[in-house]
Amino acid sequence: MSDDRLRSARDALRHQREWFARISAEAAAGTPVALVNADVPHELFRALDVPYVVNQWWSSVAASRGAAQSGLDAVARAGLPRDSEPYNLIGMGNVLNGDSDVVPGWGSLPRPALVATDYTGDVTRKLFEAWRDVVGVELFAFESVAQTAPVDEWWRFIADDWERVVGSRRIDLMVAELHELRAVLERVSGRSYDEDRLREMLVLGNEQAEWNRRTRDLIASARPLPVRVNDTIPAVMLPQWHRGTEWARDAARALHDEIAERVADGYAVVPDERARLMWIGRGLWFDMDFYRHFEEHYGAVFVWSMYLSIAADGYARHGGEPLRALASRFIGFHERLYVAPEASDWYVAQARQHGVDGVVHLVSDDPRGGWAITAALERAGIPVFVLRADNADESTYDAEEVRAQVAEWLRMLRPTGPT
Amino acid sequence: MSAALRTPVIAVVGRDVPIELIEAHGAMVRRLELHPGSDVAEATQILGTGMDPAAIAVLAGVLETDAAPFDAIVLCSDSDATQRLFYGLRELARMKPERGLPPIHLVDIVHLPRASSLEYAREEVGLLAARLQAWTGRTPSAADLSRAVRERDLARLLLADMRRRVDGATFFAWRSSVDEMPAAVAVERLRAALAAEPDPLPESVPVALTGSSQYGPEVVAAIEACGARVVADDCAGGSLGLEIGAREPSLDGLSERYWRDGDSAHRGSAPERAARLAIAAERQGARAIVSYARRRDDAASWEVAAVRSATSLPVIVLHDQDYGRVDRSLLIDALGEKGGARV
Repeated sequence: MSDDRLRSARDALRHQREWFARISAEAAAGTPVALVNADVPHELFRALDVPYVVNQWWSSVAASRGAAQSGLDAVARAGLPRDSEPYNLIGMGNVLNGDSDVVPGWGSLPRPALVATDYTGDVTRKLFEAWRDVVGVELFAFESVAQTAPVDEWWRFIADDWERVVGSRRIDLMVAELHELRAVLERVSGRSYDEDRLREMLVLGNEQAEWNRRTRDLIASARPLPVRVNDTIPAVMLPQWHRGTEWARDAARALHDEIAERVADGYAVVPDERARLMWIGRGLWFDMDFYRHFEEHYGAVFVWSMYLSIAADGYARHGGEPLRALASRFIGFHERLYVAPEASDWYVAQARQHGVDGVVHLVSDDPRGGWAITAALERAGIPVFVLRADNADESTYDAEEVRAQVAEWLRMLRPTGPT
Repeated sequence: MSAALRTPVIAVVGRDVPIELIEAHGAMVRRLELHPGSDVAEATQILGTGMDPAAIAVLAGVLETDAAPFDAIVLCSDSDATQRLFYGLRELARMKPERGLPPIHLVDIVHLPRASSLEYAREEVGLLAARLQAWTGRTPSAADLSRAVRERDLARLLLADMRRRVDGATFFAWRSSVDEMPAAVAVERLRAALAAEPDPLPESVPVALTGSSQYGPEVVAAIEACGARVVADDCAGGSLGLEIGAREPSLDGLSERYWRDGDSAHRGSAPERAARLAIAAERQGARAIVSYARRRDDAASWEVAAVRSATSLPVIVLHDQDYGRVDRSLLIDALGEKGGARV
């Protein structure tokens, strides 16, 4: 068993540090910077040269470097609830604290000139309105509308037939909003919108998605598993925040090529691989050793997480008018990850493609579609261990107890396997 | 008996369902609810524990009772919980047809002040009209629709008058029952009640209520049993939106009305809501504002700071409350301290 991390993951992290240092310097020199939620159309910001920081990415950095509490304290001092979606609140608190809130190794989050989100749920809306009303930052909001007519096997059709899969009415709505955002970004940046530039970015994004698809398919068919999920998560996600650039496209290709090399070399995460598992849910950030524990003690490997596979299946949009294609990329993301039947059918298909022996399903104490997803997998004959924990709150998480329960489930799963 | 030969019954959840459109199709409206204390285990398994227990209770009610009397269930996106309840019911209907659930429909009214949002809301109302036609077998005339819209607007205005005449529990009882009455009947009964000599109001601390939705009088009655009298509110299921009428009694006018009526705790702007609540509270002589929120219904917690900024009245925070319950000791102490109550 090797401890070698992927070069691609290290390179992506180095690039992210250099990029953030550059954006911080630009902000200090007066360039307007935006802070955007993960599921808004970033490409339009890039097309108009408005640098942006992704809210959830910043939260992960601040949380991993001990700067979350100071941010949340600042939120509480402003009279706002610090425990309502804290993961999405950290950046606001860090900005309220100003330059004093330094994240070791990264610096401070620049005060944005603009924040953008879609209005999913009750709290995201309130949180971003607090950016406007409490912090004093311009807010641009998108509606979040529901898919009421789910499309079977969306992942097979969405890249080319996105108008049908996503729905023209929803696309019309977001395109109208994108025209409004375009005017805001033109005002903020002083640049003019160039449709050809956006079209080029969409092509680069499609190429990035295609490399991610090849990587996912490669991992799905490789025996034994050539790469850990802990490694693919940063190697996929950091380039996602730079979608539409040549660097991001090349980073996705480099990840693919590196894993292909490993497959060709017969590299194995666990040479004596005894169980292939799927991880459904957000990353267990405070116990990333969880995955390695089961590799080392049980020969069980986690072959799947949503981060690579949604990058493979969720982003490509070919043809059409650029703004319509861009809108269709972002509408309904939440449904494809969390709402049955779109999400549950996709997880079942992914489990089959990867030949998993079982699924560990992280079900948080929040209202996502846990029941329907577990039920769909079990109906498909795929054993599921439901791990009840909040990936952002370790206060009630008992690592030993959880590992013992998963181990017991593994024994039942493969009675002649791990002992 | 087919829906065309009897009066169809459409169950609704949330405040964004245009009930006048249901009435225009000759159907009756029933608001889904469940009384606290019922078995919510299966509903909790389906929807998860991180959700406004009111939505879990509604699902428990559907599971516990026979939903067959309803010709359809119409939900909306007035809160995350209502929308997730739609997803849960839709999946339940798909995976467990033996439950015999009626058709489930989401009318996804959006509220941002943009022409594109209004257009989307207009299309949603049009889609609902088409579904109602299919469920009921009836096509309302323009006159049917006009009458339903005008009468419902009038019923809401009379409810706003009633708000100023009665205690909070009585008002919320009227409010929830009026939604289920034919609008003409509601108008007649409200007029009769308003013409009668008003009952004397109890000697208690006048307060304004904000926070979670209240589709029924139970929580308000529990608050008033602690020595308060709810004289104003901005709750979904309460006074919110009563004075918003349709500018024209047509499908477009109805769509525009519901698009404008989005100022709930879950969908409205905190400072704008707080400013309006402060004015209403002071006009009605409130001596305190009570922010009441059920466990896992987080929107209200984001409004407390704005409410405090908007008013000099004391703000009593009753959050994380179990479904249908009120922390009596906390409220009684706070009323005594902040509202000058003798309780």
